[in-house]
Amino acid sequence: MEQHKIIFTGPVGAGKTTAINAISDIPTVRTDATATDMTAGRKRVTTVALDFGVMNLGPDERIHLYGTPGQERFDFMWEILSKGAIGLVLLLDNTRADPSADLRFFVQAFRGFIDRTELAVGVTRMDLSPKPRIADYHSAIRGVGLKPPVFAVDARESRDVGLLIQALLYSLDPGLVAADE
Amino acid sequence: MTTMSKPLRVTALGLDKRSRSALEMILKGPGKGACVLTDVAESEAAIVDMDRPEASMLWENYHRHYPERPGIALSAQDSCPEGTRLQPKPVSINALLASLRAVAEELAGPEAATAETGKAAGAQLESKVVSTRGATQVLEDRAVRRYVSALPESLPEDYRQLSDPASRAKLFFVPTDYIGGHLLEAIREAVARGEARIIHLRVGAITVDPAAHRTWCALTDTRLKQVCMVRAHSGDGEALDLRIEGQARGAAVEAPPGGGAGLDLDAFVWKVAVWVSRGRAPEGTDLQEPVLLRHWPNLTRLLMTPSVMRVAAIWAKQHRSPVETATLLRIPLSHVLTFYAAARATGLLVEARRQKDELFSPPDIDRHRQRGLLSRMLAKILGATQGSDQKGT
Repeated sequence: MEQHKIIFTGPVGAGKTTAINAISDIPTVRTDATATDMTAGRKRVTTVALDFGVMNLGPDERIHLYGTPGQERFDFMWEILSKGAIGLVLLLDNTRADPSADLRFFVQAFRGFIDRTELAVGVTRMDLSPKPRIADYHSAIRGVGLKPPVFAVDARESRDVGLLIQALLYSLDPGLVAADE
Repeated sequence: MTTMSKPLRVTALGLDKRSRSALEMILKGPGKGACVLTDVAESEAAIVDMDRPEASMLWENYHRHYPERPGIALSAQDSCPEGTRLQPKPVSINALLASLRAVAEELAGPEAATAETGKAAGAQLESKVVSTRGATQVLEDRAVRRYVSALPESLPEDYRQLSDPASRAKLFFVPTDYIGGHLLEAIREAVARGEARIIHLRVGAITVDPAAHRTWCALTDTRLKQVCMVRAHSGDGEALDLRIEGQARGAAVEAPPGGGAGLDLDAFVWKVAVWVSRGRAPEGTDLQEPVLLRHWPNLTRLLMTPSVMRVAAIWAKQHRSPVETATLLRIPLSHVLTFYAAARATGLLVEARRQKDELFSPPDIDRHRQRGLLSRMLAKILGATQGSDQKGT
């Protein structure tokens, strides 16, 4: 069976689990993954939460949807997770203290991956906190030489999450046509 | 239909005696009396047989006097006039009743009160209707796709020299020929001056607050769309009593009673521009001039139009003219022009001024090495969110 993946990242509480759940064909699995760091010469074990969903494309093909652990100290997991992935969905919580700083942090953390693939940014909870505005995010991200789609999203709405994924796919290939058309 | 107790009142335009009798039988029988035929003055909507010689004149006259009243156009053709929904011939009873139900639903509920309440200072605003996604959005998406797709799909070679007004009107529009164009101009000026505006129409008021980047609109989307498409230069603007009230810079803007949080200004401007454009570009547009997007539009909160994602994706990265874009993406030019008009109205477009005599054309769209996989994913996503948008892209 062919397996591919899309990575959902962002700070804790940005809606990664909810967004994956909105488009997954299975209930999102919240996994306790065990990460090991051997560099210190001794085994150190840390438990992190990893979200996992699936989109079945056919009997022999599926897309894995991975939600990264939000905690910064687990960022070594991000590189492992993103290896071979199709693209990155970054979710930001507009009610956090400095969501623009979150944007810069995650873009920087995934910069190599973004340069090889594409990025789509979803901003959640804009109904609770309208600022920063979407235009502010565009300004911030333009400063680092990127021009991704940035949408206001309700992570509970499959339409919103679906549009974000569509934007990611069309960014990868604007000439794309749905397989059944 | 509208309600069990209050039947929808419909007038029949251009129907001969026999057709009218048949229609009455349908409404009383299968329609179960939820809709009745009435005269023009008392009607809430009209059914017009567009294949009759006098039909266009009858509808235009009706629409001019009652721009807020919707119509159902029975026709063997693929197109229908502004303000109507097409009911293709041969007309099945179920399809006709479904169209009448849809018209009744448009007229029912909050918007039914709008025309009256809009006259009063304390207009009951319907920001929830305007800003609601979901079912309303889906209906709008489909409606936009229907009328945009009906426009010409290719560009005449001599489009710059088109002198025939009818041919030219298929490609270009003069914004100020429409009430919607005047709305856009009033908003543009309000934003440029940083001053709030209250735009009064006989059917309701629109408050624009550039500082908060919000609008409050007393009209439902259905009614607003109808108003936007009304021609302004033939006296209809006066009939709609368009009046703009300015407020001094920095003056506090009172959200109209019941107006809630209102609607994002860009989302409002975008949809008005889409409705005025209907697949055409503003007069004066060079269709072969490359353009670029400053950034992606916030498409989860905007009225979706056909192929919007694909045009946004290409213009976010590449300087392309509307004509080039339609060719590269193999989509109707009208899809591109609708996007062009909305993006321009919201200030997202940058004219790239690429040298037209460049030795080399820009590269084609990069084909992703996993295009097959991405296509299957796209089909899956479109299927999962079916009806929301984009199936036509």
